[in-house]
Amino acid sequence: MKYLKNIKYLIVALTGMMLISCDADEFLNPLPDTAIAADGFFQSDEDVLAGIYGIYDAIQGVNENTESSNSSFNRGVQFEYLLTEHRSDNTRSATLEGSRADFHRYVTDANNIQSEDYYQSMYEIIFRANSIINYVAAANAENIAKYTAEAKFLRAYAYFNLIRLYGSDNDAIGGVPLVTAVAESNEDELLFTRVPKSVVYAQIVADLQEAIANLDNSYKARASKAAAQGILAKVYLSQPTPNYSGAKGLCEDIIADGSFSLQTNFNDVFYNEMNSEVMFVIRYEFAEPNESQGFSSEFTSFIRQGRQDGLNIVNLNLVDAFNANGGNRTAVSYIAFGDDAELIDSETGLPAPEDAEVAKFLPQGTDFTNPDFPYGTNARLAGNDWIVLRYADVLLMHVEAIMAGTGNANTTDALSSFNAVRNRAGLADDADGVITQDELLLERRVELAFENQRFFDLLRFGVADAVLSAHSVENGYSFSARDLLLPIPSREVNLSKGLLNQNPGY
Amino acid sequence: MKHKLNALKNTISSVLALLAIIFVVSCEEAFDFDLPDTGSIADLTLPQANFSYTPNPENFKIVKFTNESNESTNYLWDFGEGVVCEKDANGVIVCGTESTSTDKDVEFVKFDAGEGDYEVILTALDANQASGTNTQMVAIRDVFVPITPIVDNGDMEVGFTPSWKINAFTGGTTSTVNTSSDGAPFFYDGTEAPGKTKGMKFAAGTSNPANPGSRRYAYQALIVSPTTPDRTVKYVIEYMYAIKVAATPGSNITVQILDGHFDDGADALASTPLAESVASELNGKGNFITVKKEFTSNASGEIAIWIFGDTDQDAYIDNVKVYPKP
Repeated sequence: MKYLKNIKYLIVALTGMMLISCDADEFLNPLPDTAIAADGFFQSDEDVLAGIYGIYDAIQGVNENTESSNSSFNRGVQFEYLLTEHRSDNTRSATLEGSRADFHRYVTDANNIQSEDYYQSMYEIIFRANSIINYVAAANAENIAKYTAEAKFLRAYAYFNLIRLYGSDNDAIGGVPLVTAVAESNEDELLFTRVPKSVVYAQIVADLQEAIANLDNSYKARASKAAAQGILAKVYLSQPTPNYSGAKGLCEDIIADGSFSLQTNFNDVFYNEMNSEVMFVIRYEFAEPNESQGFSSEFTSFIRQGRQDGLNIVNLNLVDAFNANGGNRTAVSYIAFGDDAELIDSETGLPAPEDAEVAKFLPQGTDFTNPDFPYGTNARLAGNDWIVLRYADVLLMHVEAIMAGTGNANTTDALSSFNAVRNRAGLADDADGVITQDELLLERRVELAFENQRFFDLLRFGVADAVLSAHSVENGYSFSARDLLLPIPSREVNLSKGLLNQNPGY
Repeated sequence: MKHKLNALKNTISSVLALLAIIFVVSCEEAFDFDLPDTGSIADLTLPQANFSYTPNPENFKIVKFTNESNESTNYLWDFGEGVVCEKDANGVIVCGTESTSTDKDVEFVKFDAGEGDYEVILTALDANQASGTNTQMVAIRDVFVPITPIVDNGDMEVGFTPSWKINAFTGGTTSTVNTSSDGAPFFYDGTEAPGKTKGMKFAAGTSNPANPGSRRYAYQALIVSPTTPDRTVKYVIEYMYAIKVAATPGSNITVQILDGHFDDGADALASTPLAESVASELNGKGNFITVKKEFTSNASGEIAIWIFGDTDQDAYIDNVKVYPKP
């Protein structure tokens, strides 16, 4: 009771405080934290450069083993294999449990947490890039064009991924929201209106052209002229109306420049980091919680290192492709264990492992003769880089550009590029001197297996529906042509107050 | 205490009585449920019908329809002139007579009349029977591009093993026909060469029907686009030849298109060819004549070129090509 006596003073005091604080605008109009931080942050050249590094951090993403919460952690490129390889005929999840196992069966829904994370990660890259473009004036005058070009390169990279995974061809539904300036959180129309695919592609092309004009080849782990040329070539081949001559010219510029070359040994492409073949790479550091990646460990299953039972498990169908066309790439690309390694196809007598695992990204310290630590002592904090673009991809795009949708190519230039990739794999030149579309698709499949290319290759070559329908029937999955697009994440649709259209079938 | 309880009892009874009255009175209202629609809100997101279609890679008349409707659960397709087909256990597409379907997606619809624009209507319904329709003119076009086979060593410039060699020959020889430096004065693309190119030569000793053990044959397997019940695919075999003037009239080079691939020359010889061209003009060494012979591909698309001579003087052949009939 004694305390109650004082309560009236307390009430008076509180009322007073309320009155005072109500005067301040910010109580009722809190500014988003991001806006406040960005406005004050960019004061010098160093700050802008730090901001650019921040964009790469957004691509790199946070290792699941460092921050294990399932929600709202930017995983960057670390989940990309689920959205791409798992949705092709290349790989699958070892179990059917959890949202990671939905992709390979074509049952991904709009609440899928990995798809949502990837979508948000790509927009995180875009927002950070827009921020750099907005505040670049703080940088030294001689760096402004370069920094702007670098931010635009990264923005184009993110939009290119988004438009291929989420963007509809149907303009009534739209591609993806196109944000090219710093947006306030209340600009709903801008943030949530899906603009036509062709408009998004036009922006990607313009951004990459600016990157080509203003960058040089000083870096592999940052934007470069050659990386912009290579990605633009792929953009030209992917856009609704392909620009084959443009793509051919860009590939030939890269080839003629001579800065890049194929590694003699296919293994060195992946285990001699920053080698001559790498054109654009996302770097990771071994055993550093904040700079490592989690996907290397998720690719293990027989002696499980990851958090899941095994992801990116190799489909038999891909093993057959390697048997036919792998050459010395087979042993580098995947590995089978135990009884599985002994399985043989009864008709062909060739290896037919059913649960082979990806071997292109084995963590540091991997030694299968060591029974205690076959994957080293710290597999979950792996340092294997993620290669976004490499020279072999450019050589095969060169062939694709010469083919120009005709279904075959037999020019000396095309054969020279094609055979360079085959010869490195220990295979002979193309037998009849005519490269067909099927041969090129097969070559890309085995050369770039587990590098998240197959799904996009199938789309570009116009065979995704046919190949994946057959794959789905063979394995009892539920593929339809609607599954070629992922659903726009529900969280985004809900935030948009009805502005953001969903893709058909979701 | 007892007294108090009694008073309380009375109170309780009164309250209970009052409550009962209220209850009875209010009963009518309490159980007077709202009509089903009251308080519900109208469905503002109505079904939107939409679909896309892709032609079957094997048969342009068969189209696959993919449903892209929103906010709907039931569907009604009307394909107009198209009929719904299904794949049977053997993977053969069997067509019925129905031109409507209630399936979500329809994988095989055949438009038998071939090229043209056909109206297809999709109605999408939700559980409230609200519906939306989408009508599209489906364009059926035959964009078939036949395979242009590449005749290996068709210009006869290099040795004939393995390009023009038969694998085995019961009762004959697998030796290849002779190479020659007296081929046609034309390159493979038809342009004039500065002089003779290399060619293939049938000499008297390798071209005598009376001596089958030493008679030589040129064989090459090819793959062309097959002729199907829905499409006839025509090809042309073209070659140049010359026979010495001194040869006995009736001497010739025979060029056949075989119906299939053969391992043994005896089987090839015994087979009925798809087409045959007998070149017998004694036009003279070096005076090459171009011959074109049309043929229709078979159902498998597997064919072979089979060339042999019947001559007592040298006869030459060069620049052998197979291409779709223009």
